[in-house]
Amino acid sequence: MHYRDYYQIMGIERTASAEDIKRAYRKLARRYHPDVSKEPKAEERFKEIGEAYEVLRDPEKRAAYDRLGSQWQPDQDFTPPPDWQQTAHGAGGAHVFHGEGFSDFFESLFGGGGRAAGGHHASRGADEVAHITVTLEEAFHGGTRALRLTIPRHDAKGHLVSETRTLNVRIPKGIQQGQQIRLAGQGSPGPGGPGDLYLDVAIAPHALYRADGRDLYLTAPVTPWEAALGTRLKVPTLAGTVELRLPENSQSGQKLRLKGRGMPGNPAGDQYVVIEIINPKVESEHARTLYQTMAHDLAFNPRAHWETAA
Amino acid sequence: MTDILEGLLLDESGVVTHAELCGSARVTPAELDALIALGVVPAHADRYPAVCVGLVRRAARLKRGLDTDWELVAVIMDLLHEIDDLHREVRGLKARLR
Repeated sequence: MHYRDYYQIMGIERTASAEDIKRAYRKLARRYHPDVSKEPKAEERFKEIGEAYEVLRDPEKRAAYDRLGSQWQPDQDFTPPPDWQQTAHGAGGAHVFHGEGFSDFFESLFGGGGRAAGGHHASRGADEVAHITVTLEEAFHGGTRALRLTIPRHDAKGHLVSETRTLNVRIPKGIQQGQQIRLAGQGSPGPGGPGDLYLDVAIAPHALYRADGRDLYLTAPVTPWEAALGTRLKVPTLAGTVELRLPENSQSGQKLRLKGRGMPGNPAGDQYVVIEIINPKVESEHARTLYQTMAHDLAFNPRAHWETAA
Repeated sequence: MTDILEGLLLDESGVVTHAELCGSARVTPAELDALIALGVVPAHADRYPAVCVGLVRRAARLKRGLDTDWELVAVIMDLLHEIDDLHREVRGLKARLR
């Protein structure tokens, strides 16, 4: 276990007043709160700051912490003094940072209260958050996913240890980017029962489809003659191939809707097929002649509106 | 064979009660009522869309973390919601350019 210099973490002097501590905390919270911060490792840093504030804002905890003395260096090996439980463990009061995981340094000094929620949920273990990325196919069809998670827990002696668990989790059909799944009772254990585990779900980018909510977008490359004359396209969807009529005189950028062929839900999303006309390259004299014939016979000027607008 | 865990999808289709919402987000009934009064959580007759769990958890996290009051949390939530919408739009536009 390593010593934590809470004053250094908060960037304040050991003589800082309660008002200085609050001001420093608010400044750091604005910078590192994970919901508002863009700083790298904001979450980790915010936990450190929260832990430091938890101790320094509470006069009893701060006095107990100060009694350790100022001779310690950050990250120096640390063991609480032998009489510590009698002198300091009683330092208590409501925890501001209930539910957040504190270091074993904190826990050795002030017990495991920092991991529990305050108020009427005082003894439940902490909630945990894990991130998973699923394929669009998994999101479409649903399925199960084995997750290996490292979750902190207290061992028989009350020390904070990490435990690796494997959970088989059902991925609900139709899940979307950014949604969460709550697994009740799968968070950290606590005297009043375990907390919950929240899975933040991301959808991996797909080679063909782009998802926008429940709608899916697929770009369909077509030849100029298919677009001009119309045709029937075999179009992939996540539920299998369907046939789609491409009308005559279709243009690049036009969207054709396959109703209800997007992600499942109530209602199901749609799949949009975006037309993209691809011109064949002129790689032979014959191809050149064909383009020249079109240029001559069709008398087509796609920029005619420039002249009338100018 | 290990059991397959069935979670609650926090979207508009799932439903939680007032008490479940308080328990999940670790707020008191009075705190949840404050969030409803401020419009952070839409008012419902004890059947809240499960997506509210995420909303209330985020609000509670902001209140604790920024050591501030619910009124300010409501303002921050509105702004974060707008930022989330803009990020979603940017992601969509970027994907369309690929």
